[in-house]
Amino acid sequence: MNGSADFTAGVLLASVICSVLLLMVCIVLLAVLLARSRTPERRTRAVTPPVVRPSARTSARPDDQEKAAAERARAAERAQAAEKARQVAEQARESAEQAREAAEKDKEQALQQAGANLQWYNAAVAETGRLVERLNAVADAEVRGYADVAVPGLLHPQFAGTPLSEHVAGAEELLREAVRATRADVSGAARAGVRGMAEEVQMYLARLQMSINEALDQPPGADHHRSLVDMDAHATWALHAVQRLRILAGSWPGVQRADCTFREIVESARGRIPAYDRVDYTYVPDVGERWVEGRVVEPITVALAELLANATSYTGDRVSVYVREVPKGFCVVVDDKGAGLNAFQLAEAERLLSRQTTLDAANLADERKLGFAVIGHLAHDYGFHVDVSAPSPSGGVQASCLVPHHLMSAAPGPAAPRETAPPPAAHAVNAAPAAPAARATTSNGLPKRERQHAVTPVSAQPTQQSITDTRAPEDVAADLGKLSELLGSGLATGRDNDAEGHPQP
Amino acid sequence: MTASRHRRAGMIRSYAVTGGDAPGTRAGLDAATLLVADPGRPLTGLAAQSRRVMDLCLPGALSVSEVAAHLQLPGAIVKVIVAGLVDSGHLAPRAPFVPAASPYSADFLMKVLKALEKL
Repeated sequence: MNGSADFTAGVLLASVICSVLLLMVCIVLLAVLLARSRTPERRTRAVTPPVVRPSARTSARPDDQEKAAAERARAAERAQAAEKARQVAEQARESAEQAREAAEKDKEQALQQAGANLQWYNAAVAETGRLVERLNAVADAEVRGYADVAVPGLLHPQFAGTPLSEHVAGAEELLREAVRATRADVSGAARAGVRGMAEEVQMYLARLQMSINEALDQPPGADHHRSLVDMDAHATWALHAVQRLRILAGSWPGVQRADCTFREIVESARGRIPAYDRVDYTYVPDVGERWVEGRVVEPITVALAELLANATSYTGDRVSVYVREVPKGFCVVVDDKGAGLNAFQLAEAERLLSRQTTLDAANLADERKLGFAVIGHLAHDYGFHVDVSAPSPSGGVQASCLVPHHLMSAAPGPAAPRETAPPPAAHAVNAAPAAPAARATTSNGLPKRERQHAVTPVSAQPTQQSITDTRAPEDVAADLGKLSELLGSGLATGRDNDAEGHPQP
Repeated sequence: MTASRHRRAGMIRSYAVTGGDAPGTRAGLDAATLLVADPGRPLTGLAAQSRRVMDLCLPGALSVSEVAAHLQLPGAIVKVIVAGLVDSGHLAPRAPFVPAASPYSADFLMKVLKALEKL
């Protein structure tokens, strides 16, 4: 397009020059004509004096001679003038010819220039295309880390040293610089995050070692137990920190649980934060004993632990947790009395909660964000919803974790007699032992573990009634004798049925 | 069964249940102590495990070790929970094996001892 425009411009220029030259030729011709018309005047003027002079002179002979001489002189003059005019005309013709040639040449040059411009233009376009290839190769080499990637040079060597090549090199360098800066940023943030979590784990494990040392120094007793509890706590917190790290790195929580109730989830989550003693769980048996599918138990527990950690870290006050039934499912609500989130913190929290964030430059700035990133990741993967936008009645943040119905699980065992069956009736002082099937279910769904099939028959026997003096001591002794026989035979095969499921204190 | 028990094990840590209270050696509370609940006490406001202990004990009497079995918690932890409930008046501990009408005779105790020695 541009080339053709240049071409047209060249042609126009040439035609203008031609017309100017034609004008000049016309002017010159006009001048020649004028000169010709003026010569007779001069001739008449030159003729007149001799006309006057003969009239003044008397002698005719010399007059004739003079006349002839004058005639010759005039003729010579005329010839000269004619010659001159011819020369002038010749010159004008030559100059016109030159001008025409010059115009011809200019036109030729303009055409050449236009052609050259078009060539350069095409070359520049091709070079830009090559630049894209070069940037692609740079990206392959620098970002994707491919081996054996050759970054191509200039397509047209004639561009070397021109501003164009400098710009191309500049663009390439810019890309490399951007890659370097991004990489440094991301790796720095990831390093900071990993470092922070590693420090946390290390701290808990170091404290665990200290607790173990203390326990080793103590005799068994209350303090010994205290040390064990400390060890347990530190190990749990370290475990949680590691779990958080692996979730942020894109992995699953790493533990598969059986179906659990909300009570178990809340108490487990509470145990995973250092400030567990500031968490008040309002237990309502109705919702507290609803079962959550085992697949999501651990993710929900980890997310809840993060919510509790946030709540307890931003307020020194007590934090309350409760489970509430909503039309879509069940909500675990964490209420704190802290300062709440401002608009920016809220926007950032919702951004992190709403998407699946992994370890990157955007979300590892501080601990609180880290927690939201963990929750967002889990919620995205397992299909529950966490919301922190609702203000708490006490002015802090009300975080709620919605567990939809499809993530809930039916109570294990027969569900129908659950409401009607008597409470652990087997242990009632005056009640007859209930049937084993009924014993498996309870009114509040409390001891609903398979394990109790082993436990209840044994624990049902030694009620107060059976041991008191309604029976003769001899009978009791006889029973004990039988028991000892049984146990003796049991000991021969193994010690398992000694406790029969009784937990050892 | 064992698999699911195993998978639930470790879910709840004992310190989270007791709120960090160390189990004391409470006089008169051992694994065999019978617990009788006071039905007049309100259940609202109790911690989850305390509430469950109350639910277990309200229909009748239950020993500490039985409660521990039902709650699937270590006996020492249950003792802490029970001690709290005893302090608040929700539970009354009762020494086990108390004969209602007459005390045991020395003869009977000897028989029991011998029987136990045979074990």
